[in-house]
Amino acid sequence: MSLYSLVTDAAAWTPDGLAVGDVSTNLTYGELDARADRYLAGLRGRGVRPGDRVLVWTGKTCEAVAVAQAVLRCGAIHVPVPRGNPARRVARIAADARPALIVTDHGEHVAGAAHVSLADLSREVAGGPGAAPHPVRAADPAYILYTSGSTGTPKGVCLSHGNALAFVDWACRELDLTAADRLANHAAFSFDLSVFDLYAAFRAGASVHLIGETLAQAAQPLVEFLLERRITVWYSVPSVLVLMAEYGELLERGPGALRACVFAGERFPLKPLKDLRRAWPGVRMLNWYGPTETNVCTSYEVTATDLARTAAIPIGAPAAGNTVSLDDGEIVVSGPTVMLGYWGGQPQAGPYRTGDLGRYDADGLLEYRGRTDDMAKVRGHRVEPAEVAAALTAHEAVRDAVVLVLGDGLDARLHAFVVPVTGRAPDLVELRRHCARLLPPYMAVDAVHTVSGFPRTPNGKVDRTALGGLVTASTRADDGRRVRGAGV
Amino acid sequence: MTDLDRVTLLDGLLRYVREELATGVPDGRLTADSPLLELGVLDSVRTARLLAHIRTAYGVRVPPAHMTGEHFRTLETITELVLLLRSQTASL
Repeated sequence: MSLYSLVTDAAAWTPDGLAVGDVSTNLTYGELDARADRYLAGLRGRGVRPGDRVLVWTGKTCEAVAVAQAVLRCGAIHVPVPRGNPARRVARIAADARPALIVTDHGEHVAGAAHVSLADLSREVAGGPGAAPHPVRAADPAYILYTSGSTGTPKGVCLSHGNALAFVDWACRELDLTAADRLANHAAFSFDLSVFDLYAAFRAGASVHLIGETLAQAAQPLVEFLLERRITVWYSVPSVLVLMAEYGELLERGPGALRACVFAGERFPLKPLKDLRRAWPGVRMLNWYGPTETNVCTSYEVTATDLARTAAIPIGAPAAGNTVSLDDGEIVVSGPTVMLGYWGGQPQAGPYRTGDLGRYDADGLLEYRGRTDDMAKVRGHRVEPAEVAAALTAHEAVRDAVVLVLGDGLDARLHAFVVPVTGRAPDLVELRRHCARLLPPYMAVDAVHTVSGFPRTPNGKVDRTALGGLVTASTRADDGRRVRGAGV
Repeated sequence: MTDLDRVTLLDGLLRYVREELATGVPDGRLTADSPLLELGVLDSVRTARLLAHIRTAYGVRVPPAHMTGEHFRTLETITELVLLLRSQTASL
């Protein structure tokens, strides 16, 4: 079994079934399979060999999915990078992954790497014969997902076909997915949530409906999308659902054909979760947990009983065949979905320490209690403040920078504390523009505070609590002005 | 509102974004052709509020297929989109 045989199998038994749709195109399994085999011939023709990395830097389209299938069929490793990532960040990812080829659907380039556009690749293989896939083993690497790195450089999490399939098999059983299901794909292909959307759909012969980067953060049109496409299974970070409820009348207009709503990636605030649970009694709701390094490793089903809760819902019980335990309060995972390792690093040996803190509730279910380090979730994305600080420090007028995440949950925002080279630091606009050239949009700083230096702890480390405390009062004042200024 | 012209619409959108959306960008640096993504103007909450404004002020719902980076690049491109959607609605 492999991540590509899910599609070749579905193409054999449901060739006319819808496999994937984007805003302009729909592909049946027969079409997706044939296209993937033609792209496979094209990639081989351009020298891609088993074990090579192919970086796919595109929008979320049916063609990008077909190319991903072709990469896997080469026995090569798929490295998805969202179109919205700036060239300089892609260059850092490429420097780490050393791809044999970069596939794009736009004109930007990264120095020193071979590129091909989807249009050219498509032209080269049009009408030509497909090629036969290279056999892969479960332990072979399938994809690398680059996440924010605490060293300032993106970090590649490498997973095998077997890692992904262990999760996908479990998820298909858990949700009783069938060919009649219609899944939405909200997450970026570089975000592990998309592994469920794509491969669980393919495993079940169901269809997956791609949501582009701009649509992904537009509450009202997302509700239209859910209803128009008659989505039956939705999976996203909670903040998207909260936004859809607040601005898109999700509770009043939904759920349409929806039968399961799954969320992961951050804590779901209790009140909007209860509102959703109450509004849609017929929809199953699951809270999944797991860092990119393990994919989903625990699950909790939210039922009517949870309406009586006064504190956050648990992350639940071990899932997908994993063993999950606590070591000195830290959540530790071992089992079939745990990654092969970080790309370029040592293979993962033994259980994976998540850096997440947990505890057991009265029912023996796991609760999430925060982080052992600085890593944070901002707007549903995993962010290492150090990567943002490193980008700020790369500005010529910035001598030093520390980035803090202030605010909880959906209100979490990135605050930059900047020591300028001369008396005056670059302003918010200048630093946002600078960050936009180095970081993905979700890592943009929300506020800039110019300081002459950082408060230090007795052992010389930056005192983050004191630093955060310096601006708490002024931040509140800003919020006050904003509310009044909004004239509501 | 069938006589809504491009200049009036663009002015209205510009005023709304400057006065109501608390973007952190000074008025002088937020113009019709400013790159909205690069300036961090359109995060998810501000996008939602802008879409709600477009619906109430101009009677246009932006359908999912039109939520693209090209249409939401600048206030000028958003203006073109609103005019396009209004003309489609009017011709129905």
